[in-house]
Parts: sequence; C-alpha cells; structure tokens
Amino acid sequence: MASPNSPKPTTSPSSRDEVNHVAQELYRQNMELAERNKTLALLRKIDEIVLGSATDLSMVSELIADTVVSETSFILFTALLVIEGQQAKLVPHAASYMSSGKSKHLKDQEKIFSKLPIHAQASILKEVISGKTHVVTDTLSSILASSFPSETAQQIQGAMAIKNFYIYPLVSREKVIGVMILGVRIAKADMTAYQNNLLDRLAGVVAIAIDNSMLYSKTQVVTARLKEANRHLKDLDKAKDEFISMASHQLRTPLTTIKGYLSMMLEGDAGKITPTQKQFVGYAFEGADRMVNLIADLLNVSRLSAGRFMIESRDSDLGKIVEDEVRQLQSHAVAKNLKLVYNPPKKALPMLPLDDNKTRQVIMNFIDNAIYYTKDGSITVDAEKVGKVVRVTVRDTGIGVPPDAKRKLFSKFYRAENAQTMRPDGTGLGLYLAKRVIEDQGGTIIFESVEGKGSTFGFELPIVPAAATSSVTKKVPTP
Amino acid sequence: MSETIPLDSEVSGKTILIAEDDPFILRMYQIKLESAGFTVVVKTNGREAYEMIKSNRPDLFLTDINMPELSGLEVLSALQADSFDFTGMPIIVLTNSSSIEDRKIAISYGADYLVKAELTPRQVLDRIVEKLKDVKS
Repeated sequence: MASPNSPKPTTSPSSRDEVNHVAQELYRQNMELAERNKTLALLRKIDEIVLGSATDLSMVSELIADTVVSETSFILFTALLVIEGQQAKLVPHAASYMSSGKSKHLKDQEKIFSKLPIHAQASILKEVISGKTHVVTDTLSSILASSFPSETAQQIQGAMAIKNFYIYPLVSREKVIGVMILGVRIAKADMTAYQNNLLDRLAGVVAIAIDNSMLYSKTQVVTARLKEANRHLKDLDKAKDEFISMASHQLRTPLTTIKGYLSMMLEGDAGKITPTQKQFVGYAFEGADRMVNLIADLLNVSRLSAGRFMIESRDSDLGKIVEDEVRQLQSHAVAKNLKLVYNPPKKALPMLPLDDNKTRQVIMNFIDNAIYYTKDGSITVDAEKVGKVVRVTVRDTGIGVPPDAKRKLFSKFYRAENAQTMRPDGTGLGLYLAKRVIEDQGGTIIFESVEGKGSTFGFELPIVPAAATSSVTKKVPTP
Repeated sequence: MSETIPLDSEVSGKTILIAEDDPFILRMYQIKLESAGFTVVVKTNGREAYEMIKSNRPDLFLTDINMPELSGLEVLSALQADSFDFTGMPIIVLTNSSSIEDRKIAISYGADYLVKAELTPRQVLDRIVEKLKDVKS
C-alpha cells in the first residue's frame, strides 16, 4: 500500500500485478484462517457435547447434527446412524438440515429436510461400514429407500442445494459404531484441502462422542442393575440376621433350663450327689455351656457383618473372670490328661471397664483351643499387671501354628490345616471375634507360636481408671 | 462350684419380684433365690408384675422381656408413664433376646441387661446381691 504522504510512486505494470497477487494471497490466507477458526470452534463444541450434561445417545446425536450444520458454512445436512443391539442393526438417530438463507419459506423447508427418510439398509451405507472408509455420492436417492421416487429425490436435492453426500464410517476403538452422512454444498473439485481435512477429522471426533455416550448409557444400565442386586443382597442379609437372631433365641431358652438346673445340681441345690454323678453332670453342664458360647459367637459374627456389634463395659474383675474360666475348663483338661495351671497375679488386678461377657468368651476360647490342640503337656494361664496394662496369656505345648497360617489366623472362618485335621468341627470364629473384642476395648492381641512346639495366645488391656468407663457404652446410672 | 452360701444379713430377707412366663426357668430362679434367703414373689405375665410393683413395691425387679399381656419393657414404660419413682428398686432384665434395641431400652431405664443362657442361676444371684449392695452404699 502506498503512503498518502509520499509522492505517488511510479509503478510498473508488473509490480502492480505483484501487489494484486500479494493482496489476493493475503485475502485467501485470511479466509483460510477464518475457516480454521470455525473448524476449531466446531470441534470444541463437539467436545463440549461429549463432556456436557447430555448423556442420552439420541440427545447427543441431535446436538452433534445441529452443531455441525450451524457451525460450518459448507455442510448443510448431517445425519447420524448408530449400530445398535445384538443384531448390530444400523438405526437412524438424528438428522439436521440448515439452508444458507433465512426466509420463512426456507425455515419450513429445513424442518422437512431434517426428516429425510434415510434408508438404513441402503447398500451404500453397508459398503461404508464394511469398507471402513468414506464414500462420496452425488445422488440423494442412493441413501433413500429404493421405493422413493428418484425424480422427487432429485428435486429435493436441488432444493437443498447439496452437491455431494459424504458418507463416513464412525470408527471408535477400531470398531465401526455407526455412519455419518454430511451433505456438502460445494462441488468435489472446489473443496479446499482444509475442508476435506475437516470432514475427516469430524468423523473421528463424532465417533468418539457417540461411543462415549453409548458407553455411558451402558454404564448407567449396569450401575442400575448393580444397585438392584445390592439392594437384594442387603435384604437377604437382613433376613439372614433376623433368622440367626430368632433361631438363637429359640435355642437359648431350652439351653437356659438345661444349663441352669445342671449347675444347681452341681451346687447341691438338689441334695448331695456322688463324685461320679458330679463328674457326669459337670460334663453335661460344660456341653450346654459350650453350645451357649457357640450361639453367642454366631450372633456376634452376624452383628459384626451387620455393623451392630457393640462393646458394653462395666467395671469388671478380670482376675476373677480368668479364674472362673480356668476352673470351668479344668475337668476338660483333666479328661485329656493335660495340666491346666493358673498363675494368679501377685497383687489383685485393678477393676477395669470391660464387656464382661465378651471378654470372658475370649479367655474361654483361648483356653478351650489350648486344650483341644494339645496332645500332651500343659496349659499355663497367667494374669498380671505389667506397667500400664493388664496381660493375660494362655501358653500351651500343643501342635502350634504353621508359619504360613499365622497371618490369616485371626480372619473370619479361617482355620489352619493342622487345626482342621485335629478338630474338623471348629467354626473359625473364636480368634476372629477375640481380636475384635480385645481391639474394640483398646487392647492388643498377643500371639506367638512355633509349629510342633506350642502357642501362646493372650491380650493386653490398658488400665483405665474405673470411673472413666468406655465411651462406647452408656454408663448405667445406679438407681 | 461351691454350695450356696448364706447371704449377708444386709441383703437377706429382701423381696425379689420375678416376672417370667416359662415355668421351668421361673422355678429355677425361685429355688436359687429362696435358698439364698430372699423372699421371692413370682408373676407369669407383665400385667400382674406391673400391678404388684404399683401396690407393693419389691426391693428388686427381675424380669423377662417376652411375656403375655405386657412385656418386661412395657411394664417399665407403663411405670414411667405413671411417674413411678424407680429409686431404690434395681431392675435386672433377664432375657434370651439378642435385640440390641431391647438392650438399649433396658439400659435407658437404668436396668441391667443379662442374657439368661449365658449365666447360671448362681451368677444371676451374685448380680442381684451386687445390685442390692449398690443401693445400700
């Protein structure tokens, strides 16, 4: 460009041509930049559709079709067909047409052309799907049903002002998932490299959008099914818990009578009994007691799985609990020719806020196991105060725990192989519950074992001032 | 196991009301408590237990939960509705129910909640003595 201040330059015709040429070139580049901008905007909009709130496949398809025709100047028509179902049928999902004009008449036409009856079984579409590559056709009738009058098709195409239909396979993750038809108003020869490139890229982006939307719907369906299954499982679980509760109650009532009267016979409430009678009744009592404990284990496991396991503490004399349990199981040990020794603490243990019943069961489980899994030798029970904790241990000379079983020993229903051989009817619940009961009371489990030599099971519980009862429980006010 | 030990003079002769509908279980506790020196009154349904407490309050109330007429817990709520003063009358709820809800309700009345099958009559007796001594102190 010449500057207005400078004297008019004398330019030769050849240099004027050059200026014209440069100007033209600049104009062309400008146009291309504008086109590039539009393309970027279009691709970004499609990405937005993918990320947006529209998740239903038909909605996403419609949005894409509308966006493509409204954001480009040369694509007037877009149709999307998606392969669906087990028969992999091609199904039309959306179509959109937008003319370049704005008159009322054209708007009505747009509505009609957006409803063009695309024939999903058209051979040209099948060709695109099987060939996995795009095909260009200049006749609308090739994508309509063969019964559609070709003259009418020709008239429609004329009214639409579309020169060619570009039919792209939608390929995502190396699978053809559908077909996109783009009606272009520019003759094939006049398409710029850029426009051709845009069509190619569009097919890729749209394929991803459609695929994502289908994946999303599938996930939705699966999630809904999972939720339903989960609800069903919860119902079953509840029914199971209710059954266990009910059965436990029914079992406990006769056991109360059996255990109660046997204990009274042992205590002399029915008059004097001979030592042999006392021994036999004692066995019967222990059997009943064992059953009561099994029921308690079952209930506790069911509560644990239902999240309703609760520690209820009251000030308890741990020394007395240990002593009671040793005494209760003494006859078992004697019957197996084992020595069961209790070393009471040198000084009385402090009162501790404990769940008396559950802690009792833990100790009973440890001693009971020791008796079961010891062929000969002894079981030594110690209770002592060590610094700020009370430690209770049960040491045996039994079969011990194999090294590979140690890690899993305290898991629910787990039983070491040597234990299973020796006692096929164990439940695998005792240690699992013991760990929970002790840890829920702020204590730690003690466990040491050498296979073939023996084991030590026990726990340490912190000494808490008796008044500061565990916060888990409501402290019962003294009436 | 030891023979039944006579009670301390401070708790012997106290009146225990037992509400229990199972005759075998009722008899079991009755024998144990009477041989220990308590005066035992028995009721086999909640309604009668409630009326007895209203007219002639016992020193301790030992009650089952599931009973005809009124459950053990309903007896407690009926008493509370009457603004009954629970002071000085320890309550022990003795049941085989494993309902945590029941346990919570019992505890809310300041009652002990014990599982019958897990305790021998002797252990229940020990608990009764303990509760009565708590009242004294």
